[in-house]
Amino acid sequence: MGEVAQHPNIELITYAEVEDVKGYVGNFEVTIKKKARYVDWDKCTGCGHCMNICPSRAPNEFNLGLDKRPAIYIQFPQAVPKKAVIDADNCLYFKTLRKTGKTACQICQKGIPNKNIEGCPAGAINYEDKDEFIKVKVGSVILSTGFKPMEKYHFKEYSPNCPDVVTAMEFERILSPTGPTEGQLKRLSDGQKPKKMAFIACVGSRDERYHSYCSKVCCMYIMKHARILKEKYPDIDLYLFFIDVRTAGKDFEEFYVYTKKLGAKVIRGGRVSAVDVKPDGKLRVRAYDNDLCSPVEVDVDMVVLATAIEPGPDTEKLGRIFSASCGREGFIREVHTKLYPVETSAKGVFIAGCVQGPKDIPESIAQSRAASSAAAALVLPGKIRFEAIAAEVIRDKCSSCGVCVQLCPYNAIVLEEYNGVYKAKVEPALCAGCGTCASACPSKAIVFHGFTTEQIIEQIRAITVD
Amino acid sequence: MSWEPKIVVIACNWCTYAAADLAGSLRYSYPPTAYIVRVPCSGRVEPEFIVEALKTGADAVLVGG
Repeated sequence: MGEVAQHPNIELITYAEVEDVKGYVGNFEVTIKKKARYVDWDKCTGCGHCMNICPSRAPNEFNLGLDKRPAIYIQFPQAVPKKAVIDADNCLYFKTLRKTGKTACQICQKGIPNKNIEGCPAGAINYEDKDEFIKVKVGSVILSTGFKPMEKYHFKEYSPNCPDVVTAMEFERILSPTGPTEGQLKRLSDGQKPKKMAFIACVGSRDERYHSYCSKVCCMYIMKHARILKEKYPDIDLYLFFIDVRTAGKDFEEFYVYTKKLGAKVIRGGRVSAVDVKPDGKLRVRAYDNDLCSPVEVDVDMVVLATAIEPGPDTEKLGRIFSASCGREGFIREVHTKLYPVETSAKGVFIAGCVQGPKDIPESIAQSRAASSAAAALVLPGKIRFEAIAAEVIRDKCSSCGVCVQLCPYNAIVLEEYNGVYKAKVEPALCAGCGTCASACPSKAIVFHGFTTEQIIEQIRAITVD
Repeated sequence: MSWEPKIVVIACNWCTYAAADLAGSLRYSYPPTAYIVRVPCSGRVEPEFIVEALKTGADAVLVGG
């Protein structure tokens, strides 16, 4: 990320959303909404002083709501660029302004003078900041908006309301030095260090009720967690529940063998049927062991659910903005699984990473390199080849009725002035070659190259006339 | 031999034609009196095509798309 921010040919726009896209391959005009930050990023040095003095608190999204963050905040310590923003929904200044119209707080700007606490040393706070809309012209687009881990609250059978049942993403944050427990392994209910833990794979994945696909990365990250825990706390008991262990990938099987050697117990078999909270606070995990051919039960202190990878919350909307179609599961679909893995149904729009489907880091990197090559190779020559199968308007026959303009599913036809009257014109870059316009044209003014009316009629005659 | 109707199938390149192609590669059989005319999209079908087929001797027309 740091390298991207420093690169002379890359302009990094963060804290922003794509609002609208116009145009077509080679000529996209993208409208981007830069959300109001209320902090002047040219002045902000990322020192974090404002975060220490801000009195408001809100759930910390980066730690999945496991702890709180101030209303003025830097999303996470390694954020690029490392600049603060004010979350106007939770900031006391904006909350009072909305409710009463009066200004309050302003501690991040002015500090607390009578306690000798200074405000922002760089003078970067700007409460008057507004959403900014910018337009950029680009030749091609790569979508790589990632995924969302499934919430644990869908799985009532696993006691999701117990704080000791966490998702793998939450557990990742618990293990992190910048996480809610500062890297201390402890139960969120009583702060005790767990002695026995269970990891449950395929929670929501490979399950007809939720997602039929395999989330692909869970087996490996469960083992990564197990390995970290076993190396740090050798006396901890770990039970890993899998449907079956999927370790396809370079060096992955070796990782699995090594994890088993460290002493993590692997239980293969059906799905875990239930996690129950016992009166003493322990969690009872009930499952079936295929190797023993018998049901098993184990009491543990903490349960980690490897929940499924889901499409990001706005993937469908993003697909609509760029007219890239989504698949059945909600991920953006590639044109062909094997031959066109980074292209989408919209020409000039490419995909990389989990926006296309669950995948691990090496695969995401490989795909994003492929996507950036494809995106550059498409626009760098300055010329694009199109299919010869496309519609063309014979302007002298066109009666300017505009039926084709309404009908074209790809918005490829416009009425354009020609000899003083408006006539239809097909934009070849947008024409997908469906032929709807040619069939509908009442004046027969549109020739559809490759499938002309005469050609098709002759084909039909050849069949029917004996 | 019993009478078999002559059917003109006007097939969309992306779905019906692809399905007919798949049926072929799966070695399914269909009556030899069903004749396929490929079009780029069922949107390309003009009413004249259907009328022409029926007028010149087809017993039925199937438009797939």
